[in-house]
Amino acid sequence: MTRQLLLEVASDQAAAFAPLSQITGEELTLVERKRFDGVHELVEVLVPLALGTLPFITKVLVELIKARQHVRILYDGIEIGGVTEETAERILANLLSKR
Amino acid sequence: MTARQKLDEYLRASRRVQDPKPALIAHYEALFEPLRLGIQGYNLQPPELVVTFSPQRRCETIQIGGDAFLIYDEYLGQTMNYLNRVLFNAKNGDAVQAYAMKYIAENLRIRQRPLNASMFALAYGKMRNSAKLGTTTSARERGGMTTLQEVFVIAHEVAHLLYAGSKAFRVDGSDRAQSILLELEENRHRTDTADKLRERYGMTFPEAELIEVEDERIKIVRAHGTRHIEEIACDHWSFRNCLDFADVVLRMPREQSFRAILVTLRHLRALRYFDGLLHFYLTGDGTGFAQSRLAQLREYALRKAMRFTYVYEEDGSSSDWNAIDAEISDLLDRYDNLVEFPLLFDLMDKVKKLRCDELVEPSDEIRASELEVLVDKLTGWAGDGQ
Repeated sequence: MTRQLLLEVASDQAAAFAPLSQITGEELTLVERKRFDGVHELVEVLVPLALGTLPFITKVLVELIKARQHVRILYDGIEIGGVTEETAERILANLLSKR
Repeated sequence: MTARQKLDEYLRASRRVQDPKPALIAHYEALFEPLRLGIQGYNLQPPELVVTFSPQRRCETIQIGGDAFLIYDEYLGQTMNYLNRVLFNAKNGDAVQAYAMKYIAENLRIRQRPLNASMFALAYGKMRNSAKLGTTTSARERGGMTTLQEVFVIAHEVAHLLYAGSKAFRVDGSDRAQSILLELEENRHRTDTADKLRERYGMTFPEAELIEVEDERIKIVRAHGTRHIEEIACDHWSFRNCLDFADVVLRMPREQSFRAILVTLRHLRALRYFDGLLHFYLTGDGTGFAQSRLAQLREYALRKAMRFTYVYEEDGSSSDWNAIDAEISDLLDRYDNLVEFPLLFDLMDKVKKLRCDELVEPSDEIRASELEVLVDKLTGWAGDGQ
């Protein structure tokens, strides 16, 4: 089964990932969470990381980073750091190759 | 994918999880059962309880599609149990500082900082040797206390669902919270506050300072009214459920239940301090501790509710309440000295020093994964997580 990448973004930015469902044929999984401390304006989007989805995910990520939007990336329980406009593609491809 | 499959994928992506033992899942199901009935009492659909074990140690509710899941992290319970041990058995702040090192190591590990994590893990290994805790409290008494604290955390989370989903709950809960906050406003600047503090601590606090503290508190309430009201309302519902659980299941004496519940808020604040230290180490930003004021307000509101329950609902005498309240103050002072002050002052300075020579992570992946193995060994993650 394809491993999922979890992207935490502002609720109003999640729609940018919607076209992914056309590539995967699966409805996009949105996870809304409310932490114990009561703060919640963020949403997490679960996106399948595969060869077919990589270009689209990278494109949206780079756009979000350029627009200085909040993005937190989790994969396999690890928070992925150092993702910039320049490194996004390489880092995601690296994660994909490590599966 | 079904909702359950989506949840499993979410857990796998979001947390470094270990599978909890089946017996533990049954234990938490039993804690959750009375709360499930409470939710149904408001004609709402209870969320599915999911038990995890991860370094984040969080209790949270998530929604996937139309399905709600309440995720309880068993590592939170273990951490509260450890902090209870610190509270009862430690003689100084060494033990909590050692534990903070372990927490920071585990959480740097999941942020791709294995070299920095290993430095904290080594510090943990060294510090824990000089911070051995005795066993003056019986494990059974502490076990009951930890269980009640877990119920408090889970019930508080459930209460947020009720607050969002039920108008009746919201109206009732906010009325009660409003009246407590109103009382706080009305009682401020009372001259006997200084007298009480002098009696308790044997020292005089300048009145102007006390007024300043009170005014600050009121300002915070006004600025964040709605959110504070929700938190206080949720604490209250959780508190009532805990009392029932303490009576029926744990058969815990009232005053012990009061203490256990109040200490829960301190534990949650200590966890925020751990996160604040981690954040400070990573970013140099030391403002992650500001939430402690909300915690003070919640503590104030809970103590009011406890007094009300004891004196008005259960016909206890005011003088008995005063004795219980004094014991609560003693225990919370102990918590300050053994847990919170060592984290806020002493450890903050140590982390500041470590931050100055922050280590550059290796770019070599093999070296990085060797360090990860080392961190897991030193923090006990590779064993049973303790």
